[in-house]
Amino acid sequence: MKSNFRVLSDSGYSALMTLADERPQLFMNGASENSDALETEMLKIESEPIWSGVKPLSRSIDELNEIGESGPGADYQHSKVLREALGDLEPQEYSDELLWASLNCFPLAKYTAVRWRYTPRRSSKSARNVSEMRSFVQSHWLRCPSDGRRANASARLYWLGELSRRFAPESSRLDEDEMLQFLSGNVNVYHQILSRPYLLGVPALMAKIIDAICEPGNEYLKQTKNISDLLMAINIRAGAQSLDMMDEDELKQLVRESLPPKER
Amino acid sequence: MRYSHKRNYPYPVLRPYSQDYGDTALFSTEMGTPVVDVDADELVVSLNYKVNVNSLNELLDTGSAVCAAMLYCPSTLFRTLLRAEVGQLGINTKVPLSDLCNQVEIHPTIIANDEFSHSFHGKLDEYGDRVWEIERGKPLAADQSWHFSLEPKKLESTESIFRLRRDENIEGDEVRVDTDPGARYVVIYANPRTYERLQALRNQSVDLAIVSVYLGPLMEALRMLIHMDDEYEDEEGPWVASLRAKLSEFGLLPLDESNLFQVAQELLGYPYGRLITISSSREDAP
Repeated sequence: MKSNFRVLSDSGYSALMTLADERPQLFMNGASENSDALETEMLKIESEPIWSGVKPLSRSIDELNEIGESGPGADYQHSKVLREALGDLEPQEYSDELLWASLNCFPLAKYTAVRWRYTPRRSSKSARNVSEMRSFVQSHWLRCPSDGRRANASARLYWLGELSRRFAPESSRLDEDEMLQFLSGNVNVYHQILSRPYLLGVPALMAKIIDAICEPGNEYLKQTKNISDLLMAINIRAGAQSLDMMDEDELKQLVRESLPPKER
Repeated sequence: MRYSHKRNYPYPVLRPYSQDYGDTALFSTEMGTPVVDVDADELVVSLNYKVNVNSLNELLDTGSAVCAAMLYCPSTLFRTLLRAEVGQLGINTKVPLSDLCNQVEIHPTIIANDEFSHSFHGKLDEYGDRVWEIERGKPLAADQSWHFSLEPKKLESTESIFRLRRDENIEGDEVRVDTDPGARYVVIYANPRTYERLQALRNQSVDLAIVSVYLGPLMEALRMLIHMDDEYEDEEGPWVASLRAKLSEFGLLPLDESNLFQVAQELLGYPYGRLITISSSREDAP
């Protein structure tokens, strides 16, 4: 079923940032009545319009709110649903934090609160606890550029699909759906590749790295230390030779030469 | 990683503050202000290079080396290598605008070229008989990076569903509006002279531009929506979806052909009304 969602204005986003700073707990309970409460609080501190328009969805995203537990277990399925609903966004659109905050705080409020459930590490009255809660809300509900690919609830789902779309045509092992399954199901690999943004801009290289990990006998590369070492070795080489001028065989060779030893 | 003027290399690389080619060696780049062409969805980037090292100039002249720059956008992860023509000390190239957002970095360099061989034996006059084998893609010079930012495109404006393009086949002041429901944008075609005039109008007054450029095509687009059959629903392109969402937000559905002018005015924020206000305030002035 098709539907729309409202997109925040700059003023609306700024009101949310203020609330995240002053009352982060407002975001933590994602029930629908809580998004109404959030809107009421935004209107109390912002006199300018808090919405700038609406954006269409080609299908419902309600099933994301049926998420039962925190963690990445359902990222694969949820990424597919969200990308289907939003359609092909232009890079300028999916780099816009207003878009993601509009989803995370309202139609996907429950999803965000459950997927990124906050577990306090100290007593709830501790000042450090409040500051930690504040940055938790800013990371998962609001901010998007660069770190959003890892932490922003809906931006992360979209980027999982987007990177799969970019890498899959260059892979000799995985199609787009398999690539999405791989990236969603190997969180430590996904997080490590996100930490090398200059390499992410070369999809052919990323596909060769993932192909190497999927090669029989190379399971060890899924361990955080090993994938981190592989990416670091490639990254160092990339600072001394243009990756953009390497052909497929050279990229394969670069990955092969950078593989960390199996036994240490 | 990217080329950096701060790195150390196992062969001479000309960089600011490095002594690889002596005190008087110079490698500098100048970036022109990037020009945005929204309708062509392109950003025109220009860079000029200055090198006063003989051996590098010779390599550039023969095509063994080439002026290049890595362009990278952290927000969209778009990355591409911009390259000058062989023998040229400047780059003037177009990059897809839709791949860029917020900050953009440009890292200028001179790199060993791949057009002639996999690697060349870099004999640099300044180093006498020493020879380095330098593989293609390796930097011979690296300058400090350039940065600029692009305003992110907002999702909400009704005007964002349109693109203006040149069409040599159109005569006079007429414009042609393509409202293909499966397309990304409603495209307004004008002959080159009209196109330039409309562009100038856009730069002079937003309201005047809205009335002159968008009002008519928006009415055409609305008319298309009224006459679209349900069978096209699955083929609806982004502009149709955006416009429907906007109409629904403004409570303007269902559409009625008799008041399309009114609906278009409301969607564009009553530009006629604002123009009249501006005119009258000028007349009232002493």
